[in-house]
Amino acid sequence: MNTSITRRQFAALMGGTTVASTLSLPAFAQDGKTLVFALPGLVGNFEPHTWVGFGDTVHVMDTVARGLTHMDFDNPLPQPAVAESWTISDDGTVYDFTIRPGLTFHDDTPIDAAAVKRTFDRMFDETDPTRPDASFAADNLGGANVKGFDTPDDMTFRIMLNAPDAAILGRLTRPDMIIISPTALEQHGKEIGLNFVSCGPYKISSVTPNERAVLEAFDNFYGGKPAIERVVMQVIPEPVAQMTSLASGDLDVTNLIPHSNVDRLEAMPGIRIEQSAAFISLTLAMNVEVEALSNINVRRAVSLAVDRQAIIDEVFFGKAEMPGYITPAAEQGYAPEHMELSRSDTEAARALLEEAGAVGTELTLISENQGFWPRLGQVVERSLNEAGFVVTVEYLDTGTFNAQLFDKTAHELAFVQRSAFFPDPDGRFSPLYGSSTSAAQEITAQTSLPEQAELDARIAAANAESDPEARGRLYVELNTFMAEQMMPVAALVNTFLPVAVSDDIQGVNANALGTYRTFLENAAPAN
Amino acid sequence: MTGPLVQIENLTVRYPLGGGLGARGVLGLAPTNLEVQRGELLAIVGESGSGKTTLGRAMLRLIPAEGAIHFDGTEIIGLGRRELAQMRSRMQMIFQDPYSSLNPQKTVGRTLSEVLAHVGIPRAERRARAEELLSQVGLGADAYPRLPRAFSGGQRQRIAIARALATGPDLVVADEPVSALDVSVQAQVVNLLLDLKAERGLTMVFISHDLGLVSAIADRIGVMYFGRLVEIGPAARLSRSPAHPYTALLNDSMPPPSVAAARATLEAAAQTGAVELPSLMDPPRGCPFAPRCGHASASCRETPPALHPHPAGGLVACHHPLNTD
Amino acid sequence: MPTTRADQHRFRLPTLTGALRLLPWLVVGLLIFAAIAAPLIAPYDPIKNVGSPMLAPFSPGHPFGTDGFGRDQFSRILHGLGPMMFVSVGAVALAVAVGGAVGLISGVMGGWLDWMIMRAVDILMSFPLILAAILVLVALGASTFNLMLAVAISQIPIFARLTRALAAGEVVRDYVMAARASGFGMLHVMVSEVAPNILRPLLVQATSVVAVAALTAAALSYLGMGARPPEPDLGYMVKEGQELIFIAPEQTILPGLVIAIFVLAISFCGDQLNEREGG
Ligand SMILES: Nc1ncnc2c1ncn2[C@@H]1O[C@H](COP(=O)(O)OP(=O)(O)O)[C@@H](O)[C@H]1O
Ligand SMILES: [Mg+2]
Repeated sequence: MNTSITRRQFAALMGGTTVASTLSLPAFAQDGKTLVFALPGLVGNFEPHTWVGFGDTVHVMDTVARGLTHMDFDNPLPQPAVAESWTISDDGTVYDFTIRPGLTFHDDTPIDAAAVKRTFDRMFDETDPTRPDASFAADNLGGANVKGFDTPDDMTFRIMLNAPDAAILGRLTRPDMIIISPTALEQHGKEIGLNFVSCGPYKISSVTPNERAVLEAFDNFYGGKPAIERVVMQVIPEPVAQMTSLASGDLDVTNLIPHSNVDRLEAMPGIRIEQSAAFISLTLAMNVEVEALSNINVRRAVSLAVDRQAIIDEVFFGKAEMPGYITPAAEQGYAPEHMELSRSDTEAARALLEEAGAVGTELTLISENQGFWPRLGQVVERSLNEAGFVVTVEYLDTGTFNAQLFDKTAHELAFVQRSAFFPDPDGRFSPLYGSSTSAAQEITAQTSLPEQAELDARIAAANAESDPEARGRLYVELNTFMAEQMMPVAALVNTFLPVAVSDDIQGVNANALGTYRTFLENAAPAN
Repeated sequence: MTGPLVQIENLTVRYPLGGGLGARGVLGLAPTNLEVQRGELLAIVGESGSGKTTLGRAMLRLIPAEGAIHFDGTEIIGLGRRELAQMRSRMQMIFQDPYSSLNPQKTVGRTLSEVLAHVGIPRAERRARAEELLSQVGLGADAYPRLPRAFSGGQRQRIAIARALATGPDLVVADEPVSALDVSVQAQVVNLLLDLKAERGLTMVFISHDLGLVSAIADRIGVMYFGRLVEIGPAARLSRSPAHPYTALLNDSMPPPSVAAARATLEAAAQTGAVELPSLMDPPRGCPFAPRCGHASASCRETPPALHPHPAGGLVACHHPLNTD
Repeated sequence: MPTTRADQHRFRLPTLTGALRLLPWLVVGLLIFAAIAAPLIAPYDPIKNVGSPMLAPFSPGHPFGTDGFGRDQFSRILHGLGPMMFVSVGAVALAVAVGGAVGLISGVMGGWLDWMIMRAVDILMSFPLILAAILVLVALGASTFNLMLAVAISQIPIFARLTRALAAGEVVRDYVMAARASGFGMLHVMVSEVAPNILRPLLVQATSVVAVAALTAAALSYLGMGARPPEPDLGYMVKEGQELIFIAPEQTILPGLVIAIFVLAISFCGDQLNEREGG
């Protein structure tokens, strides 16, 4: 194919296979007032305190709701949102947030400290009749470390902690930390997800499950009314259908296209690929309770055996980067010398295996069976086998995969993807490698390693340090410690979701979209 | 051994209508009583569709039937599968259509030796016995390895006869054994059957629609109409002085009218309201022959006649029997 | 011959005449040969990265280029033929055996047993073929052998019904009654009398259904329910290639074309057998 093909021609070429998905698009696009965004799915329930669906929780939520703080992914530190400022007590356990004056929810209910407290109480009060089953928001805020909430005055909301937690400002930027209208909560109780009202840049106009959500710009958004009046979040799960819609101008923004097509799309007039930082890290988790993997040298051999360049080339078509260890280069806690911790060296891997008398060790790797995972599985299988392992990959549907992943008796090696809802260095460690997490207990089973106690102490110490620079140094050491002393996971590569944007649109937050956050308030028609 | 070889009581056959469970049935054979004496040749005649085949098959328990069949003193309707299998070799059937009664995929030899094996003939003797049977029915040993399609209709019927004889039966029911054959070979096959009957002392039920043929060969003749036995008696008496008006009709019109022709006549009559049509699914209340009968009275249309002894011998089911003097 | 659902779904092929009639047989023969000889004639190991660039264009060394992992596409397609045939022919053979046995029992025994079996078959047939197969694969897990089983299970009702119809047509014939009159049991009637007489039409129909089975198998592989990567599997290759359709359309088109050629050729062969059977 030659590169000067036009978007329309391109769409016509592909039309045959994707008519069905493009036909259902309403004629919204290209009037300069509407932005069409692709969703992988839509349940139509926006309950923030439990996981409902990918499109609902990840994409719509970020567009229609907002919390006390906001992560804009330009500045590594959380920014003011519903709270215009905050103060932290000297011992780091009391946070006072000053609510921005004059704000309202989409239903005109004024936002004050009491309204904010209502949402946070719902996370922790298990007797709250409006609380959904399996609410996990409390854990995501800090769990038992949260002592309580208070409203010292009408416009001040206070969070009290037992121990300092420097990540709390970042945690407040999560999509499950958004503020819900107390009026709507009163009215709809447990059904709030179906009648959702918050205070984001867009308000929900209509929702058709599995089809689309239509959102309208909100006049009283704290950042001002967005320039684009309407956002249509359209369900287009198939990558090929997305590319066709993009080419035909029926779709303006998507972060779901396969990496293989980035260069192709970029070459097309009218479409650009926005560069985003590689916040998505892929790791190969090793269950240390499996006999073959109980020897750290075997785990080191696994890490050495992974051909990371082949992953970058064959799985991500160049759209990925070499990892450090746990923390990606775009985040605090990374140091260039970490790259040595995740060196690829087949010969060294083989030597380690021979020394351990473990050549020919049979291992089973579980992988999801969709998206880029089967490609990743094939490259990892090949490179481990070259170093002397005998690896079999099982490709499982997402449900089965997750069930086996969180059961240490049901897997040996497993792929784990970690994206950053907010780029705080603690987010890379405590939710995955702290003793109390099911990930550390079941995915890697590293809680049985003697070094785990020290790891826990180092994680706690790093997160208690509120001076950003000192904090960063602690996380650099944490990466090195975990790699050298424990090696429960092998870092594979860091990547991002390619963000394709129509030239009709500017101001899309590509870094956020590259890691599953959807902030569209600064998007505007291009002139 | 005394008494009849076969004695049937109230033998009744209902054919299921349509598919499925618990469907209604049509009466293929109305409750029938009949005896077959040892060594006799009993002929069953009647128009096509009158229930001859049904009677013949039910008598051998080849189709589901109600009532009782005493075969050489043993009641066989109540018999279990295994006991029945034991009895099977003693009663055999020769079918009307030799083109469908031989498995097209099996050689003559295989057909015969399977039967021989089934009745316990040792493997070593089977071939010789089969060839002997073939020669008894007038075929050479060269027939043994060949498939049925290599043979003419008459030859096939001889093979079918050989198969029937292979079990060493006491009773053979021959269901119109020649009506599908060329006229030129019909006599040969009938003669073969008669010779074999004589040689082996067989009891034979010979089903035919040809009263002329059977009156020449049978000891007794039974006449069927509309699924019922309407007359039975010595062959000579039936052909000379029939007691049932239907037997008389068969006697007069040889060959008998086809069902289609008869129905056409009846339908024409029904149009004018003169007669009503009998139907198996909805049997008439009185005598089923009444609509066609010149002698029918009011009582004929009300009460079905039962079989009664006829002064000249045999039984007849008629309110106004002929030749009573 | 009674029509099966497979029949109704089948697009009517034009009738080939003259020397053209030989063509589908040649194609099937050639594909079978290629499948068997794949280890000998394939220039490369189908699962080894051969060190060439990814997505290399067609060249004498790589007649069909290389795939997204730098594996020789020609070798992969050759090696993918065997599994395709194993799954489609094996599934149909199994379905003929099991469906045939069930249908034979149903057709010969008749009565309530027949009624119950056929209602069960009706229920199974009310599931779309592919859904039945997916359910089986979800239960058993994905592998080439399970794929064969799943496709077989989805075809069993078709053959049960077909065999039942054929058997019911034979069982009323006098030779069956003659066998029963000779004292033979139902097993003999089924196996020795009826079965040999329905085998031919059954096998003719089976040939046509191989095409349906191949398509079902390809669709399931496409859904990731067949061979485990990196084993070459034509259906999965179509899927893997689809994402690359804008940059390397041959990745998805070539394996798709091979599936289509096999299915089409088998269908033509089945039609010719059907004609001869007078169907
Ligand atoms: N298998 C069957 N199912 C239903 N009706 C049948 C069946 N066989 C015969 N009949 C009916 O039973 C009646 C008697 O048939 P049959 O005994 O074959 O007469 P015949 O041998 O005298 O010609 C006919 O009306 C025929 O249609
Ligand atoms: Mg008859």
